[in-house]
Amino acid sequence: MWTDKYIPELKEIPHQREIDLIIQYLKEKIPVLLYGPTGVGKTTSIIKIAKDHNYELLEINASDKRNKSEIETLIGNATQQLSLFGGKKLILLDEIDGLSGTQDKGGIAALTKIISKTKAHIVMTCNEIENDKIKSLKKKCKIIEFKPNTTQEISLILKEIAKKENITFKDSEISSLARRSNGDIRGAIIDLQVNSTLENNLDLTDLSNRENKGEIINALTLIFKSKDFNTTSQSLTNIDLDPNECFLWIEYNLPKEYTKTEDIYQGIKKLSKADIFKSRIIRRQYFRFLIYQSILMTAGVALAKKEKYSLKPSYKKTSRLLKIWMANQRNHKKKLIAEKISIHTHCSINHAIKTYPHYKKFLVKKSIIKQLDLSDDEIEYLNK
Amino acid sequence: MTSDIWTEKYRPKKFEEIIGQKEIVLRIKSLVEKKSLPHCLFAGPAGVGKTTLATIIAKELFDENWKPNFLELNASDDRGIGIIRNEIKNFARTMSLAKIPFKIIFLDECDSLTRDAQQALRRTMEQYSRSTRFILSCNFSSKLIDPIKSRCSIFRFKPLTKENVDEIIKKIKNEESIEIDEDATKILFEYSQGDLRKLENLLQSTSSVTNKITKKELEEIISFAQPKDVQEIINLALNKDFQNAKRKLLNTMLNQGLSGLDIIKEIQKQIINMEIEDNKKLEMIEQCGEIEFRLVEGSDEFVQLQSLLASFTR
Ligand SMILES: Nc1ncnc2c1ncn2[C@@H]1O[C@H](COP(=O)(O)OP(=O)(O)O)[C@@H](O)[C@H]1O
Ligand SMILES: [Mg+2]
Repeated sequence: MWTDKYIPELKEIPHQREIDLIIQYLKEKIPVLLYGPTGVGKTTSIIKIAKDHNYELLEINASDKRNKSEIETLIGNATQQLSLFGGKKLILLDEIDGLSGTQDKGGIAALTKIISKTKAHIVMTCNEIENDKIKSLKKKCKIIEFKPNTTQEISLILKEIAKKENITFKDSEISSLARRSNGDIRGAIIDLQVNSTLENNLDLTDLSNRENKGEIINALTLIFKSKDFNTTSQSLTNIDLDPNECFLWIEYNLPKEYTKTEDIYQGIKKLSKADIFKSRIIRRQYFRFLIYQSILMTAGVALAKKEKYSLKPSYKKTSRLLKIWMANQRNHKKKLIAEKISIHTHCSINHAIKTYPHYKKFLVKKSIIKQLDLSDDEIEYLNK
Repeated sequence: MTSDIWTEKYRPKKFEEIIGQKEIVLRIKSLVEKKSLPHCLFAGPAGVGKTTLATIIAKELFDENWKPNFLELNASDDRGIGIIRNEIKNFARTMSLAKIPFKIIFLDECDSLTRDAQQALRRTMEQYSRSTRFILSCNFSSKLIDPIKSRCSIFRFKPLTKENVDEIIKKIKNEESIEIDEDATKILFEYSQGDLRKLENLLQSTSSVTNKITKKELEEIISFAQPKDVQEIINLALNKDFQNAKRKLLNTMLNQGLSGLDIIKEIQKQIINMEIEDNKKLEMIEQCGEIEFRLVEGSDEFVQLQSLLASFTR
């Protein structure tokens, strides 16, 4: 893989200012927390810093189990050995927002406690800084943002690699690869490798069919960043993604991009109109409505803003469907209980679900548990 | 076997035990005595005795034989009339064993049936009318198609009055040896609005905590049963915090299993009671109406509710 072959040298990494800061804080043994999207170079920077500045790197990442005692042992060992042998250790806790609530029980809490007590060289990374789990941890360290790399930065890197691999390319092709990577260097290098032919030409013809995520993100960028009717209304035409799924992407990311309430209002208004056309298509089976749906959700949203926003949030896929699924799992138990209430009290299951809080308090009475024949699972749910 | 759930324990078993609804009970009673029951439509709000009266009819007509001659179905759960039709078919096929030449089918919450389902129901009623009597129940008779209504004798149930409610409270108080003070009695009436199911459930919940029931205990249980989520969603939107309003909306819908219509009804109710400038209030209500219309027309609940919240942020 070219991603391994072309690990950049420290001074080749685009985030020089951030790197200088990290080196500085490490010297003072102040814990550092890096955040930014995947593939922008957080881990690479640390690996290179360790190498160039003679730290022995101790790395734990998301695939390791990291509960309270493990973290304590690791950091404890690192600091002790330091005193025994005198060598410098750098502890890298990668992707700490991946510490799950139950499996890595107490992990974050332990980490927070340790870094405020121990003097050690510690760097942590995460994707999302606004994560409740790391709220208290944040206060104990210096926070450094790794912004997505710019198209130019990525283009430069790609060109370097292409030259070394003797690939013939057009500048426009390289920048197109760079643009669609959405700041992810690693992704861009992989794209470069996969789209280089045996004859060492760059061939992007079927790039669009392989990677939807880049495509939709480009489309979102168009819609959110420009105010031009023609380009934005066409933005979804060649996308290999169901229009309704595109709709979800736009709906989810709109308030992340538009922050002024008036823009949100106007944007959502257009989306809700698009949605009306969608339901009309279903009801009337009149497919020309699709045109209105798609213009409203693209150009409609684009023109909803008064001015363009300069900040670019990283667009994400909606988690709504996943959440719906999880809620259904949870509500399943409630539904089972409601069914039993319904049988025994002559009301509908729907009614029992809606008025569930009315029952919750007294259903746990022994005789009633027996009468309704509630299972242990259901009793546990009631007691929650 | 008597149930430990109060709505069942205190469900009247004879005509005389029904509180309120006097004229209805009288008319039904004489029909039952003559053993000539037409198809009936019971219309009225929840928890006022519709289901209760239907079961009493069956008990009076069939005595201890009532169970095999009485089929209770709920239109809102079984959705599609298909399932219902099957059950009805099986039930109606065998003749009634009692001296009465018909069986009774009680179909609850008929207003949740679609128009197509209602048409199917009407045909089913015709098909089996020799061997069965239908008692239909609904909240709003206006939601039923005319051909169904014209086949039924319509009985309109009223919400129970303060006196009615006091009567049942007194009964429960004595039976369960609990104390309920004057203020609490008032709250029970206001909160239940004459819906005895709601009232009895609330009382049983509260009494599982204490047997001296005062205003304070009741209010605690009520606030627990009436989550403030919707109010918070509105407030977030009014404070221009759209992102969090949106997030809270989704969580509330998912965690409590509420539909878009449940939410919009609640939003509308809350707005009416809010202390905001009149013009703003009117505008918000108007917007609710528009969104509710869209929901009824089948638009995406979450998207449409978002647009409602966005309009509140202005
Ligand atoms: N008129 C009434 N008299 C006495 N109890 C009633 C009356 N109406 C309702 N209840 C109480 O409320 C419960 C629910 O009433 P139900 O007949 O199922 O209401 P619905 O009108 O919704 O069918 C009953 O079990 C009973 O305890
Ligand atoms: Mg009923």
